[in-house]
Amino acid sequence: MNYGALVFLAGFLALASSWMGMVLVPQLQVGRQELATNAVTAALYPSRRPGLAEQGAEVYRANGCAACHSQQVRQTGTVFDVVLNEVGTNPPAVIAALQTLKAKLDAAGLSALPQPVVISVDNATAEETAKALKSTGAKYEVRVRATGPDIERAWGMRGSVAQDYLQDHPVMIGSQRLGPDLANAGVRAPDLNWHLKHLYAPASIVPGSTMPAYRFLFEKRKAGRTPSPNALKLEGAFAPEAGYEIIPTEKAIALAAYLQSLRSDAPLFEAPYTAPTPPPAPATNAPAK
Amino acid sequence: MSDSSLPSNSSVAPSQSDIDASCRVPLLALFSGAALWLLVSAVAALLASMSFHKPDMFADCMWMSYGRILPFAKTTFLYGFCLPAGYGLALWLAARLGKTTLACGVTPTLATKLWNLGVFIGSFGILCGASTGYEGLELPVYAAWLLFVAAVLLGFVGLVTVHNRTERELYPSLWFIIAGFFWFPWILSTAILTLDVAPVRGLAQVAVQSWYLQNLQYVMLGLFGLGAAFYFIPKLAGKDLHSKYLVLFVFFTLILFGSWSGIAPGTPLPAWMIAVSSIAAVFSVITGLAVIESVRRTCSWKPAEGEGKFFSISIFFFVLAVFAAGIGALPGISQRIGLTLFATGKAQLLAGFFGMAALGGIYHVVPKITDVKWPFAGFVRAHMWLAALGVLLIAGSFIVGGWAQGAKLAHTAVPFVDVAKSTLMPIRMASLGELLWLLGSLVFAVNVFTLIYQRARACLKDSIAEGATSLRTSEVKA
Repeated sequence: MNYGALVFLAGFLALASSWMGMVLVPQLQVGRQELATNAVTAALYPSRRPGLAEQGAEVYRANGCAACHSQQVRQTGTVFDVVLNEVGTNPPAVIAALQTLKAKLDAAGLSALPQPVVISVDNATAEETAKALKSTGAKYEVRVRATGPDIERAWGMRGSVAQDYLQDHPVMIGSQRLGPDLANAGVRAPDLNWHLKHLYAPASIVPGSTMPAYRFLFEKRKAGRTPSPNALKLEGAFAPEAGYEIIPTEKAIALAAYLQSLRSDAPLFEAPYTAPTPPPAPATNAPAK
Repeated sequence: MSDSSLPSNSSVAPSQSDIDASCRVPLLALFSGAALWLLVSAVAALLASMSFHKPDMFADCMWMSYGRILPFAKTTFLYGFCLPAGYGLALWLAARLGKTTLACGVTPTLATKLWNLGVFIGSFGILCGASTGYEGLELPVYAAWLLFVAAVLLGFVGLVTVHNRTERELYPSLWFIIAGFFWFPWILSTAILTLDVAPVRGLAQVAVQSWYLQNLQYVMLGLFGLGAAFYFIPKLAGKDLHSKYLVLFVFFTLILFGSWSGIAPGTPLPAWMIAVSSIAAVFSVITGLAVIESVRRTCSWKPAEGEGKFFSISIFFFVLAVFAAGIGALPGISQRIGLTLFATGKAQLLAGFFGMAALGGIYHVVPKITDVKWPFAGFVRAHMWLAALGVLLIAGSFIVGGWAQGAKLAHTAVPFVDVAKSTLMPIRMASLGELLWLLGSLVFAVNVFTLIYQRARACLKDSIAEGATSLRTSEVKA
């Protein structure tokens, strides 16, 4: 029995087929994606990170942050809310419609709109509700919400999709969650100083944090007569001894800028969600009260 | 054509001792490098897990930070120990089973030097921050190219040896090994080209990386590890291999299902890839069952003696690993264990499978090729228990810990800090396993290097004695 040729052929076919399936086809399907458009603002998404954040991505890579942090939000489902904004000209019809829909909202609730008519329902129910409300002439809104543990943990407003990673090289989506997901680190903590302090002494910001401190990204030096403007403002046990101050190095600032730039929150066609409406912009240039 | 016209090496098998002598230098080069890297990786893995005992331990030391030392440990283990040990056993089996001497003279030794140079500059590059950022291929590209050239050379030597064989029939182990010689250069070159030279965009990188890692960790190590096991298990038990067809089935299912699985469920890649990959992972259980059946029929559960025990344990870990992968790919379970320590536990089982097989092979082969017995025979047994318990402890705590971690992650009433804290205990338990594994690696390295030293001293004595004799003869003549 000599299977040399057969074995060679089988091995070749197996590897070639998996190469086609797992390398070539993903490249054709995912690798050639073009930038997507934000479903709300129609801006191109994702935009490139600012230069400092791009440098920070290199620090993130070099220090292997992806060994503990994933950058992928997982969504398990989508639900819909129908919100009644205005009753319109025919309140009795709206009340009748609400009664047929067996909505919790009743006539008394109509005085303080907007109010949700149904919450966390599937697509069919939402459409049915919307149809019933439409015929009454009321103004309503269907809101889309992503669901899943990651969303509940406020790690993102929607699940991650392939478009989110188009500008990254290397893509560091990670395979562990020994630390929290960072796909939207910049949304959760938009402040650069927050990130710097957190990198220097994680437990100073998140009590009980298991993250190692990255003190080697900072410089401890003698304070001058006046403290440096960029010295970290640390309190209690985390502050350096008197006469010293902690200055972030360029790498620390770049890394913090990268973390600040992590936001995959654009509503996309593949990953829709209704962004919370921003507060209306002030009509004048007067400072907000 | 008469027999006399054939070149002598294709008709007359060289003696066993000639075959072993031809393997001596290249294999000792491969195995001693492997022993050293095994020790280095074990130390590094233990240091890496220290960050979970005291998070601030290495806060001022860039080189020791978790995200650098962990990939360093993994890289030195996979590329420093596993692959060279696998290539060494593969070359020996190619010569032994083909009843021919190892081909190409000094080429395999040079290739080994090149390989170790690649691992050296690559792994220290990772410590300096030159990691590529792709899990499983953190080696910087300059080091990866060196490994590619070395792998092509070693594969070439192996194929020429198989070609020169005087025993025409291919023993099943050789199928695995020949496939392995092609497999690694193919996947490595694909990964280098598509991740670095002409990088693909976005998540296509993740697809390539997952494919590469799976093909390396499961298929490539499976080919060399099972190839060795299907030779050594019957050999050391004094039995014949039960059925070639069953082994052929193992081979086909390993390369087919193995090379298609590996995409973690939940990754934002196209859903069909995850579906195909999960199905392949579930079907890989068949490979495990076929391996059990083959071993059972061959030596009917009778525990082998000596180095054979390493292979029994190795097969046990392999079966556990395919079952863990198969169960972990089932819908429902895969969501629960996604992005937890479970995957690490699975990888540790595969590492344990290959590690035990490679160690068993090395313990068997080295005394044969050097004609020197192990200086500390008791260490071999001790190493087996230390390694087996170490792997069990590491993989067991990661799998159980990952399961609990997944449950807590899904239960959003548990604050994340508590989820993170719950992973500390399993990782600390695993450090104990790392320590056992490190002790095992230490006694292994001591054994290997003492043996090489004894061999070198004996050689030196011989040559001095020879020199003295020739000197005396010349004096007499004068």
